[in-house]
Amino acid sequence: MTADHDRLEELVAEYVLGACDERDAEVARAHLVACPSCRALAQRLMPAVDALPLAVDEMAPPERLRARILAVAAVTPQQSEPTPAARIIALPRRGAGGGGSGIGRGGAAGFPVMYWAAVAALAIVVFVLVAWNVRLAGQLDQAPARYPLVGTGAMSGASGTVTELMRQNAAVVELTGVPQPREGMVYELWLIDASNRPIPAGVFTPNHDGRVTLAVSRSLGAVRTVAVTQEAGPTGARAPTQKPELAGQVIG
Amino acid sequence: MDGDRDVELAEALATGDVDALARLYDRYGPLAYSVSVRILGDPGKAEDVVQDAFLKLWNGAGRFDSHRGSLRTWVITAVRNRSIDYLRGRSAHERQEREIPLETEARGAGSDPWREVAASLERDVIREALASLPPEQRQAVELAYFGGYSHREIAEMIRVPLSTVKGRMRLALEKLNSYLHGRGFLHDG
Repeated sequence: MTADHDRLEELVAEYVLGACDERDAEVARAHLVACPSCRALAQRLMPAVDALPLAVDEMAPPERLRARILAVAAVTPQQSEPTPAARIIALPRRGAGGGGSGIGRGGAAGFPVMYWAAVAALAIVVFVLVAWNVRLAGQLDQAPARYPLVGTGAMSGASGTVTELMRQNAAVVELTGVPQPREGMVYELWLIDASNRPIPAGVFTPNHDGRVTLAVSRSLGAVRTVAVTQEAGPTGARAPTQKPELAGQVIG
Repeated sequence: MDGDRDVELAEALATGDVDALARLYDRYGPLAYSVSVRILGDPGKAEDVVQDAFLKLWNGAGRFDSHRGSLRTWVITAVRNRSIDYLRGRSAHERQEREIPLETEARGAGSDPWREVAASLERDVIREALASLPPEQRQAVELAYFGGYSHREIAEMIRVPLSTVKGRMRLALEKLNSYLHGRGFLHDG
């Protein structure tokens, strides 16, 4: 073996450990293609590297993580373009019954000005939190951005989070403390753009424990506010007819 | 052993079956999350990373090749790499992926590290193997794998020559390999 080969062979362990910088990784990759003995060495060392993660203390991830992943996957089919209209899907929880129900619809209509005052007030309350959240999210390239939703009135015990997944052109809405809607009513999610145009994003009912996980299959780029109203079931309304009691501002 | 079922699961995943993604998550999500927490030291950030990694795997499910490694390695590698990127403030495009050319003569179709590191491989055994290493070798391996540091960074950090770090990494992996062989967890191809 040559000195040059010995030098390259020294890179193999680092390469399989992922400890090479980009330049050395390129060199190692090229060498492994050409050198059977180093390739054999890499393949011999790989199982030891791949065993390393098994040494960690295993922790149970939060239940919401599973729901979020599946919710987004359900509205972002592989290798497909984002759907033009908002679609909302509520997922069943693990080993349990329904996690709320959702029905997708399109269309838009005007929204009474009086309701906007309530929405704006809620938005102001959460603005500082939003700005803080966005700053944190910016620390990671295309990290999910989160926006809080705050409940008032009959939904004062409810709260939620909108997680915007820019890479997937989708969002997840997670709500807690949502009371059952009045008889014959359902909740309806609205995405409201800068011109105050509410886009219906689907209807839902909460789980028995007041939790809801919803996926929205569209970018929130043009959306400024996310709000929830109670509307007549089972299909909801084309435009809000009630005062929003859960809302939050989205900063695109 | 999940090997054969993993292949079927990967095939279902590639067809866009969300139930398959749920099964993948149920099978490897806890380990993936644990690895990410270990690397990042922050459960909240680990949630974001695991979510991002699983959605990337979902979108790239058709690229999984069982001849190159197991489903578990595929998942854990994605989560580990994304966690390191997050930790080091790197964007994904800067990440170099480990890819070893196939050696089909030595490793038949379907062979992968996790078939050799059988499902019965216990956490305690891996920990024993790590504990059996001299501290400086264990440190080099852990800084590289869980810290995402390059060999040059490690050399600067612990103030030893680069060649020393290289030697420690190689020796550590050789010893881990030997230990796991000795315990019957790895087998020659």
